[in-house]
Amino acid sequence: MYASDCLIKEVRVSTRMIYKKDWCGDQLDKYTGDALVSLDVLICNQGCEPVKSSLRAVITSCDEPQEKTVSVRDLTVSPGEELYKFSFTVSGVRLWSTWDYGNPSLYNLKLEYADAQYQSRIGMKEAAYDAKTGVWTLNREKIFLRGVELGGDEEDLSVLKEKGVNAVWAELDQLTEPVLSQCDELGILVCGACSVTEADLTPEGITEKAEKAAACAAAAAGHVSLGFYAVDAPLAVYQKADPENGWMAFVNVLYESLASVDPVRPVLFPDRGERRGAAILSSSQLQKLDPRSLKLPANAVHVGLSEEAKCGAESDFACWEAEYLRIRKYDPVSALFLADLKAVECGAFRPVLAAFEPGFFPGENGLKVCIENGKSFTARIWAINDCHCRIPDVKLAWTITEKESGRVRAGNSFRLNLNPDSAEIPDQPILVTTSEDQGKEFVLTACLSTDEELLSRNDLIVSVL
Amino acid sequence: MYHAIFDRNETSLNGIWKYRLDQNDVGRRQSWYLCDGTEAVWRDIAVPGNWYLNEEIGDYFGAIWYVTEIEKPEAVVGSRSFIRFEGVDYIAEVWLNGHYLGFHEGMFDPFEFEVTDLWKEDGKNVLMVRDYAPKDPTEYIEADSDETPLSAPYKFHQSKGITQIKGHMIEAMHRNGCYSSFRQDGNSGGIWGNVSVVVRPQTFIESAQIYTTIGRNAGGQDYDGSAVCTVKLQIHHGGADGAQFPLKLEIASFNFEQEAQAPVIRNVTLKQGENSVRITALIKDVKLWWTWDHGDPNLYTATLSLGEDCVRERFGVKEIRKDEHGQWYLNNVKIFLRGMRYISSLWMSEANEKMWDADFEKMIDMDINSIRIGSHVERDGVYRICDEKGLLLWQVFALHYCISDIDDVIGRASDMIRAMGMMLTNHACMGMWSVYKEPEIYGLEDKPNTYFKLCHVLMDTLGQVDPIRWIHTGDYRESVQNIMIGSCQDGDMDVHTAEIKPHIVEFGADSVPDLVSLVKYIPKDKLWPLDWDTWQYWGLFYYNQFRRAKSELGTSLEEFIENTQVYEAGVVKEQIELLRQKKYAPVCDMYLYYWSDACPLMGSGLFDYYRQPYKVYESMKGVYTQVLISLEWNEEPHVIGRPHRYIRGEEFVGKIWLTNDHLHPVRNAKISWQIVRKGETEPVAANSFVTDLKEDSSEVRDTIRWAIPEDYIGTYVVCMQVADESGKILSENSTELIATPQ
Repeated sequence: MYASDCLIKEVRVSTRMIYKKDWCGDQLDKYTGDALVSLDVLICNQGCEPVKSSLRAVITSCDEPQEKTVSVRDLTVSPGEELYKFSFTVSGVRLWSTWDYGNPSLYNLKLEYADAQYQSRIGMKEAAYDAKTGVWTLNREKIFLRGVELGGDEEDLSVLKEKGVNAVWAELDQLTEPVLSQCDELGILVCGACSVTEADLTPEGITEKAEKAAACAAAAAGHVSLGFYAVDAPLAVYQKADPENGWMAFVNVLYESLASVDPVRPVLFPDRGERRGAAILSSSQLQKLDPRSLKLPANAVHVGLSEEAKCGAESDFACWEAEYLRIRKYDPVSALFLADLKAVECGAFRPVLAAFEPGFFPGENGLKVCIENGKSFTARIWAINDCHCRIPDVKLAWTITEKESGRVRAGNSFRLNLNPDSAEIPDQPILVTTSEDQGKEFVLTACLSTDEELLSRNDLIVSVL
Repeated sequence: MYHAIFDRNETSLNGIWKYRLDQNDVGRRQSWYLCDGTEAVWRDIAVPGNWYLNEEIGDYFGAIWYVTEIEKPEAVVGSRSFIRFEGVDYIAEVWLNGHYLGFHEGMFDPFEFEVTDLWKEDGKNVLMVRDYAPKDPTEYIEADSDETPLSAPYKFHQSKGITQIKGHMIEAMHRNGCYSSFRQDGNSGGIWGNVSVVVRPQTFIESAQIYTTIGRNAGGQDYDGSAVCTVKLQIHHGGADGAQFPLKLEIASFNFEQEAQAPVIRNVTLKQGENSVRITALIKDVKLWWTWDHGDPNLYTATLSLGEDCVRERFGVKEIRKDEHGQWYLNNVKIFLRGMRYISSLWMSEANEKMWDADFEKMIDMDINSIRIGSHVERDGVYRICDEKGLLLWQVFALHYCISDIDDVIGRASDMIRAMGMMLTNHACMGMWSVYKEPEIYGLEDKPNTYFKLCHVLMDTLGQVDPIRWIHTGDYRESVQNIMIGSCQDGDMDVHTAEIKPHIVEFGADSVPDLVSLVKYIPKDKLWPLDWDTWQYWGLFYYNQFRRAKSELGTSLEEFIENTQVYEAGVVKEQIELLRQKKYAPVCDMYLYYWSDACPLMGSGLFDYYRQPYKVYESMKGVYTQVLISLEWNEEPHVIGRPHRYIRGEEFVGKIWLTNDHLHPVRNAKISWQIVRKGETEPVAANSFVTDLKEDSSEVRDTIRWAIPEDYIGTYVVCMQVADESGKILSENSTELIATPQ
């Protein structure tokens, strides 16, 4: 090796869990416990002579600094820039995960070539999307994304984590280094969205958009928390059965530009050919109709954003929508992203949730349910557990109380086990109303708790007309 | 960085160079790069040329130094100049006038070194190349569990982990040294491609990847006649940061008449060094690229202008996709691929336009619409001809069998697959990719983890260059299958109980070429009686030929050759009939393994290395037609390629299948069949009728029920024919039945 004018100009990281077919056993593909780190390393030789040296990588666990992986590749770099693939195996890896499914484990990566150096913090994960079922997986386990949409001015994301948020959606150009670093550390999965407008759907507009998207993706791709990309569009486009002329051809340019920068992360597309089943749609129609009559998308974005909701009750609407989308877990909803950050306060984002599905719609959804006098009010109580672990011996207690008097009209309490990653209906309250109940309001309250903590509490107001 | 050549002028450096063997690898230590080749030890050699084809060198492994004197081209004044190699197998190091230019590993991808400031103004310039193509250091192990008369080194061997990325050129089923411990023989080393000087302006276009998407009408199903064309350019800017240039994209028709599209101009600001920019155009009244059987292979030219640089690249507008059942859609229309594996030669320098043109004309003549190339990359001319002729191409990267899964291999292979993508993505013919032919074919009990390590990184890397096309990670997974009945698989297998998958990327069998070819490489004294080791070395797989195909030796060499060829012709014909009867249920594509033997060999080609046809050529030609009539006889277990025997008095039941690969129906088709005694013309049973054949279909259209007469022992022939309403014969086919006493 001799002194050089080399620079490590850019490094793009992708990681995979290493599986191996059990050739000597049952012939099944099994996880080895290792990860494959693949780096695209752009080396710039600014001198006039080729440089012969070794590209050396050292990876150290942030949790356990004694866990170290060293790998070397010999290279001869001619003057100019050259892109090299550098792949190596990290044994016994600590995978990065969202906070609710595991730990957001991170590693320090140090690269050296001749006298050039590069350092970065990386994580190892595999995020994937099954376009057919709409199900997300993180490290090959199903994950339900309880997300919010960032506006770009958030400073402390730990508040979101406290409220149960495990994913965020933000415009790619708003994914700043501090936001991504926080998400890396907190264990929050990030979607980088690329929104297009009608104005972008011209050769010039789409070129500019594609270049910008590619540059932003390249800058963000080193962060392990970046989980996927989405090409996004105004609600009007989503709500069309099939987007019109020009739309598909132009937005395909965005898909190409994102995929060519980062071939590992999925790119969600509104209604793109084979991804048809995975269409991203707004859930705003939920507020007008019986939601059971709607064909819901697997990924619900802009939740709580609608014209009707602009009357001072946005958060209530949003909260109700979030709850409804959670009871439709994997049927077909796999992800929801709330447009209104304030709505996370309502508790609908907790990994464990007690939620209600009234027996009839419509009503002023999210605010209260109205029934005719003399009819019975029925509802399903959903016990939702997004954790991958079984939670045993959980107490479910619900009551229906007259709001004014506090008199309990119905109730039940029993213990149950919450299965991992589940949404089940453990009970269905019934309130039989009489003529005396006319004009009364009732509160349906449900609590899920262990002996140590309250896991979820939820209320629903029922009005008798 | 990959530098595309586009249509730039090149000053050829091809010709007679000097070479020197470096058997002891002392050249670098002894500074041979300072030599000028005038000493007597340096001998003449033609460049380009694989050294195997040079009689003085032959099958040599190791380093060879090449040197030539060149003149500074006049065109380099005021410009930047590069020495470009189309292909050097395998590791090249290059010096100009003793100045080290750099290093390149790989057997198929072009590379360049800038020499702008290294020319001698007066006098000679000495270009020196050290080409290193050693034996791969892999260990070979005997993995033969079969009893054969072969001596130990000739028994089935396989490598534990090859580390060179050479695909077919280092490891394959059919090549000299086949299956033995000599499987690397026939070294493909050498400067096999053109060498030239390329001149570019100070700021120039290095590469351009062209992506197209077709516009659809509201409703999403029908094309609206437009397409969006995006060009991703890599630009090298030789000036200062912040320079502004107008970048112009002009799109014009290449092989059809159409008014040129309005040019698109975009102002770009460049920094010194590498720049990545895009430009997009909307193409109106677009003419899509089609395979020859479903339309015209329409091509466009993109002319890109930037400052003093102007380059042209050819492309086509098409959309190719695969649905969840494996069915292919070209421009939203379902198509069936009647395919062929192709390798022009083990030694790339002897492949040329004349060869390709003759091969592909013959392919089209037998209704082939798709080619699978691999595990190697052909010269660019192959892809250009496929663009023009409308042959859809499935490209397999240069990994064939038994590659090591070590990290270093992953890195080096990834760099090469990126180059492959850059080379080929713009070709209109490119349909789909595979990153590795057969990653899990090891005979070892525990195998390297190439599928989950190497293949997936390769897929990611290629996906960065081509995010649109389907990338397949390796045979035997993802609905991909090889069917080589009577070769790699038992000739007596019951095909009715066999699982058939949608993508048949290899089918076929193998046989012995005609004597006229055979004597060119099998020594006379090894011919008859067969010297098993020699024949194994040259491609006769003892176990496959005698246990699976069950070939009869006969009483002479000529008879043995005939026996193998007749069996291959029959079993391949019936493989094709079977697979086409299973069209879309589930078969979506099928590729014969392969067109011609890549080297002197007893192989699976329709043609041998000398382009002499095997009998299978004519038999395949008869059943690869777009419209096919074929028979499915009643026999369980259902074995193909063997005589179909029936006891006289039994009922013969045969289904008459009609396969139509046209995207239009065949109206008023006349279907006829008759059964005759072999050698006679009087039918013993017959039927004919007129019907429409549905477009893109394969259906049973008649069933023969015929009691085989008691009064005859011998061969009957079921003759079948389909003609269109003008009387033109679309398909003619026959199957023999043997009536036996019991």
